[in-house]
Formats: sequence, structure tokens, C-alpha cells
Amino acid sequence: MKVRVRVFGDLVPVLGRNHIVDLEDGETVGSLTNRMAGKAGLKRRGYLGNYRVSGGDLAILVNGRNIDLLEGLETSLQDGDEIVLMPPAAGG
Amino acid sequence: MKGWNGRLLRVDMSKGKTAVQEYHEDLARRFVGGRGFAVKLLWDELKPGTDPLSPENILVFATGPLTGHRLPNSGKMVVAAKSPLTGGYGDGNLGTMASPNLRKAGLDAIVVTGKAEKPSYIHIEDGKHEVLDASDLWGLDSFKVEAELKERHGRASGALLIGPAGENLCRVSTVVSQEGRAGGRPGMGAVMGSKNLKAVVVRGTKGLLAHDLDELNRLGKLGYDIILKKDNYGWWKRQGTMAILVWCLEAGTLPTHNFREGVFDEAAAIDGNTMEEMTIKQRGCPNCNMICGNIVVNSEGLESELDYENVAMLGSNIGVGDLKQVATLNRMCDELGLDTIGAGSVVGFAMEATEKGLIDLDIGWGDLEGSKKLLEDLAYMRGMGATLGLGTKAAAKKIGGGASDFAIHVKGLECSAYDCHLCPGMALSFGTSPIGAHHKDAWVISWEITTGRREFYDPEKADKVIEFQRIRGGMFESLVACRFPWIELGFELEHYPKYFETATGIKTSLDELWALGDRIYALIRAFWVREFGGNWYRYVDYPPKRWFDEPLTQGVLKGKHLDREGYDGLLQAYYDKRGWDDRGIPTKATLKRLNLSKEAVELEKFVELS
Ligand code: SF4
Repeated sequence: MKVRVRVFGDLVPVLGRNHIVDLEDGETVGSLTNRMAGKAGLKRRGYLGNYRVSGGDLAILVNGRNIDLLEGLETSLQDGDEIVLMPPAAGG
Repeated sequence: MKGWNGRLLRVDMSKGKTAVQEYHEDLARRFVGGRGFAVKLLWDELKPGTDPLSPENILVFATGPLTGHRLPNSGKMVVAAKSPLTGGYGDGNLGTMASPNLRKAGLDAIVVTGKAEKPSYIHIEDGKHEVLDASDLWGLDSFKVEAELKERHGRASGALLIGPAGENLCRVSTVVSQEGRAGGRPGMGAVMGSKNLKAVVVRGTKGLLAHDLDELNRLGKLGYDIILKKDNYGWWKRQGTMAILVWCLEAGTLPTHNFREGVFDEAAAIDGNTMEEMTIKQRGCPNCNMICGNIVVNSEGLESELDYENVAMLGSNIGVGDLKQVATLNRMCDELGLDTIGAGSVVGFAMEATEKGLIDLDIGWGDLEGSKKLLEDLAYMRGMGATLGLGTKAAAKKIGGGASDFAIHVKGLECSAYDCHLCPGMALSFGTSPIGAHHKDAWVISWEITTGRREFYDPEKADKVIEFQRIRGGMFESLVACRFPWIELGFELEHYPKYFETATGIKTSLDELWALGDRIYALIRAFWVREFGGNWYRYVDYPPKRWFDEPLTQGVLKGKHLDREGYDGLLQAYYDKRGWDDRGIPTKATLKRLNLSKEAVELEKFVELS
């Protein structure tokens, strides 16, 4: 299955902006972020760039809903899902 | 009393007279500076019920004990008065060379009353204070006036100015400085205009005093270095606040077509990346190493300084999807002395009212020429501009036909650029902001969205709003320092009590600074209540009707809207935590706890306290 990933803010230089990622059936948000970290050659476990993947540093939305409201990193993904990786925003 | 100059300048415009006053230590001890000074002076000296545009209104320019020192982002000042836009307390802050200059002229604040017979400006040069003729400057835009005044009084001086909008008493007018820095959204420009006050020019050359100046300078240098090393410094320098546009789009909070849609198809053409490609230079406030004003060339070949609020309100909110065109409207606002946020909201409101056939204007969504004409009409209060220039709340009332349903304001102040159809916490922040709907006090939206509980109305959100109000609206606005090092880069809050202690020799802690924030909030609230008397009730703290009753029409949040009951519960939680009663009025016990017992006695003359 394929999912779409959109990356924001200062994670863009680290991961790139828009991705279509091929996943096996039954994969989760956690396995997706691992794959992305691997593809970008990131070594620090549990991190994307400067942001911890779990723990509120980074907002991860699946089809517009934060994974904290779903099953966290265990949230399973479906074909066609859209995932957003959103670092805390500057601006106000 | 180290750290403060202990003196303020009184200017009576009616008599053209100035006088230096040594103020009581209590003002510094209990209210610190900036917003704290402003609300205390207005509370003590302004007669309730005063017409905000009458000579009796009091206009305050106030710095704080950190202002002007070599400390991170300490080049700002607060401008405040009773607001002609809201009828309540109004203020704003802006970065300007006038701030360090005022302090170096041996003053902490300027308090202006009266009305000059003819256009005038205040000139301060160290110990010399005078009111000068500005007949030849009246009518000029803020850029031209500043250039002329710097020619006359030297490039090192700082100037606070109004454009034609302030002169013509347009209510969505600000005070402007340095071609693009502006503050005082609740019509502070009009208050200056009503006093026939075109500008304040300040030059100070004395050294600043502090309890331990060497140590303060050392701490300041350290602070600047820490800021430079913060992880996201580079990213901030590239886009500044503009980085958030795309974030807002994704989160469905970008104001679009007068806050009704939540998604703007042309967002990529006005976002931070587009701006990066167009940026020719950057500008900022004095004493700042994070300078965040990005200058681009607009569609007319002129320079324009952009930030997120301007671009969202004069871009997506009115359907303009071309950054050069947005920059043209933005520069016009700065020149005319219009509030970019308020003006963007008024133009969006006018476009919708036209679409609905409620007014007869030649303007449509995304219409550059129509918008340009309307901005001019607002600033000169002519044609339909005379009505719309009163702000969306008053204009909607005059227009009728249900126009109030899509006037996007709280207490008369137009909302800044965050659509809160599905952000109850941010809606509460707008609802309880001490000046009407502005984000500067409690920008909780990033926290609310990234923690992923945006649909919830938990009391925790009220805690967060109060926490932010204490830090941003209390501490930063009264020490008078820019909040961006902290909120944008994570510069630690613990630096600030240290700066304060080193500047003043008075021990403090973050807890004491939060208490200061609470005191200031309670007194600002008391000011509003004293003005509104029996007309004050909790619904004044509600966000715009549209966010409850008209679900978003597009995007990931299509169909979403705020829930009245949920919001009301959140509001009650906020009141309970603040120690305010269910009308949103501080109780007697709260006022006493905050060292405002004398003020409570005055408030009781107007409303029964719980
Ligand atoms: S960060 Fe921006 S607003 Fe704050 S002081 Fe610096 S230039 Fe001014």
C-alpha cells in the first residue's frame, strides 16, 4: 500500500517535503517514521532531526487527526492515508 | 530606585506644555513598567466614561526596566490608551529606536493629554522637551514623516508616528515606526490623531543606570550568544514568523475568505518559501539579534516588510494569492498607519458584505485594485470607508442585515490570523485577551494543535491560556522585552528574573513575575468593567459567532465548529482559576490577594463585587 507523507518546518531540510511511501500491510505510524529516518540516514534512535518522535515534541497527524487521539505510534495505516509530520511552529 | 529613571514626561497638548514628574516608587514596585505602568496610570487618572477621542483621553508610551539595555530584544515600548475601537483598555507594543532613546533621555514614560490647536509633534532631546508645529507634516504618510523628522533631529533619534489613518480617526489605526514596525491595534493611531499629535521624536544620549551595569552587560552578551546557538535559529532567520503560514494551512487555521473556509488554494504562492526566494534584506528592532522583518519588493517595485499576520490577513483572508500584491497592500497599510490585521479583517468583511448584497462596493475576493482603494478610503474615512473605518463591529451594526454574524472580532478588536473553528483553547485566548482578539497574550494554538487534543474543552487549556498570559502579557509586556527569543527559540525564561534583579537590585522570581502578570490582568479587567458597568457580562468573552454557528466549508476540518456549551465550560474554568466570578469580574478576595485592595474600593463604586 502507499501513503502520502507531508513534512513541515525545519524537518523539510532533513527529510524532504513530500513523499509517497510504500508500506507493507499492517504497518503503523511508528514503522513509517523508522523507515523515513532510515531513508534519510538518521542515526539517532527515536528522533527525526531534533525532534523526539514520541513525547509531544512533534505532532503527527493521520488524515488530519493527531495520533495522540488515535493509537499513538501504534496507529495502523491504510492505503491512501495522509500523514503530516509537524514540528512545533514558530510564528506568534 | 536603580533600574528605573523614576521620571515620566507629562505633555498637555492643549497648552503645549511639558513637565517632568518623579513618580512614586509604588508604581515601579507593583507595576514594573510598560503595560503595568499604562494600566495603572489609566486606572488612576482617566475619568470613567471618557470619550476615547476626546482631549481627556490619556495616551501613554511606556518602557520598562530592561528597555534599552544591551539585553536580548529589549528595544520595544508599549503604547496605551482607552481604545476608540473597543471602548475598553487598549495597548500594543512596537520595536523602535524611540525606546532606548527615551530611556537614555532620562525618562521611563510619556503621558499625553489634551488636544493641540493645530497639528503638532513632541520633541525630546535629553533634558529638552517641547511641543513643535507639525502643520507641514500633517497629511504625510508615516515613511515620509519619519524621513523628514530624522533629517531635522538626527538619524540617531527615534520616532513614533501616525499616518493619515490616525489623523482621520480611523479606528483600525496604529502607531508606526521604522517603516513597518507598528503597535497599538485598538486604534492607538486615532488617539494620537485626536490630540493633533503627528509624532513623538526622541533622542537621548545619557548612559543607562542599573544596579550592576557590568554584570547586566555580561549577562546580556551571554544571552545573545545563547540565542545564536539555539537549534532553530537558522530556520527562524530564514523565514521568521512566515514559517507558520504553511503550518496554519495544514492545521486548517489559516484565515481564508473572512475566516469561513480554512483552506486557501493559492497558499503556496504566499508562504514562507515563496517569501524566502523574494527576500532582499531583513530589518528588526533595536537590541535584537533575531531580526525578523523580511523585506521584499512589492508589485509596484517598492520595499515592504512582511510577517505572518500581515500576509495571512491581507492575503488568504481576502483571497489575494500573490505575495507581491500582498506586499503592496501591506506597504500601503504601513504608510497610511492602518493596522494590517484590522485592515485585512475589515476588507474581508467588506468583500463578504458586498457578496451578500448588504453594501454596494466595487470589490470582490482577491481584488487588488478594489482592496487598494478601500484601504485608502479607510484611512481617509471617506465613502463607505467612513463606516468600515469604525471597525467591523461598529460597521456591522450600522450595515445591519445580519452583518454582525460575519464580523470577526472580540470586544470590537478584529481577530488576528488564526481561525479557531476547531481550537477552543486559542478561542479562549482571543476571548479573554485584555485588549480584544489579539494573539500576543496567549498564543496557545501551537501547543493546542501539536499536543493533539484540539477537539477537547479540558480545563487544562484554561491553565495553558493563563500560563501564557502571565508570561507574555504580564512579564514580557511589563519588563518590556520581545517574547520571541522564548517562544520561538526556547530561550529560557529563567534569564528574565536575573536580568530584572541585576537591573534593579530587587530580588524576584518567576513566581513573583507571574503574580505581577495576574495583578496586571485583574486591573485591566477592572478597567473594562468600570467602563462597561452594568453592561458587562460573560458573553463579552465569547469568540466570534461564526466559529460556533458556521462550520468550516473546506479542507481537513470541513464541517467543524466550536461548541457553545464546551466553550462556556472552558471559560468558567478560566474564571475559577483566575479567581474571577461568573461574570468574569475579579472577586474582592482575588483583588486583595493581588495587592489591589485600594483599586477594589474604586471598582465597587461601579459594580457589586463578589
Ligand atoms: S524578534 Fe522580531 S519583533 Fe522581536 S525584537 Fe527582534 S525584530 Fe523585533
